[in-house]
Amino acid sequence: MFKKMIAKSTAKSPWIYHINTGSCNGCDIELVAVLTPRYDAERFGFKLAGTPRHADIVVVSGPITSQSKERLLRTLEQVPEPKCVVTIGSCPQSGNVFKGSYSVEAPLEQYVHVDVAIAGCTPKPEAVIEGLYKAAEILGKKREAMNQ
Amino acid sequence: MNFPFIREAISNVFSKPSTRNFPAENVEAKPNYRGRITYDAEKCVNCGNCVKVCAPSAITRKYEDVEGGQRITYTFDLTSCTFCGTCQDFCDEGAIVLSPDYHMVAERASDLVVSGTRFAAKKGKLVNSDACVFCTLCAKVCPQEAITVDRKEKLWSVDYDKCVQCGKCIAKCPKKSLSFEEA
Repeated sequence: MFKKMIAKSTAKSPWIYHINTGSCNGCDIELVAVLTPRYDAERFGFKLAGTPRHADIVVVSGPITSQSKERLLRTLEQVPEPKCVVTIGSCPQSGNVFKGSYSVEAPLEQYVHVDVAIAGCTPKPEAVIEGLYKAAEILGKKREAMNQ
Repeated sequence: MNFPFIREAISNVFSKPSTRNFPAENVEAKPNYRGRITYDAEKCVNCGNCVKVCAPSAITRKYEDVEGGQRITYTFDLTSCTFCGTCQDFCDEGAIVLSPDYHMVAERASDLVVSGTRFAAKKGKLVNSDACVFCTLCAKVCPQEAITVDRKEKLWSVDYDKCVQCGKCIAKCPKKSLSFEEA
């Protein structure tokens, strides 16, 4: 009975954790804008978590610099299953204009599976909401598969 | 007793919320917003300017030899794009347009790739005739820098390995001196 209750309540409150891996701050600002009253992602239950251990969805921005790579992977390992990894912007997907740089280890795909990619440089807040909503759907499916 | 904000408080009770009802009502991007790239392969002349100016090298060109010519494929990787719009500015033919469509969310990176293929019939080599006045306009307009003109010595030459047969020099020539040799 409690399991059912927990499943029902967690489905409607996917908490997000945001990691900046050397981003120019453009995508970070748009993610914060999504949580403001204008766009209000909290309507769907999205809430910024203070620690990765509380998070369901991890949002990664930035081209993954060599300095931040170790920390990023360590943080991702702390997120409990089922988790969903979302990339914002071009940087974590390919490295954008920084690709080929000695200090950028860009495609995030080579370290962890990316569930949702939001393209744009930077994406509009509406696109970020769309991406997060899609991530929440995927998260629900993952949780269902885990509970069976 | 003074209540300075009471008017505002009452008006806020009856006004609409400032939150945009986004997923229920679609929000259009502002004019000139640079979103998803659209590529019209039929308009493209394969000058290669877009490939050259793309800062994150998101644009790639692929040739495929088929009977009577070749198939040219341009691929625009939106997961790599900065949406700066420089390719659109440099495309004289208007084949590349950045549309205001910002809904670019995908589960696989392959869904965020725009590509177009065009069949280009085989053309003859680029040749010059006696009408040439060595004005160097063709060399200036050539996107591949394949044409070299020496005004003093009155020499005109073209590097056929570099030439992509875009025809920009033919369009630019004031004397109509350039043409493709009939194969």
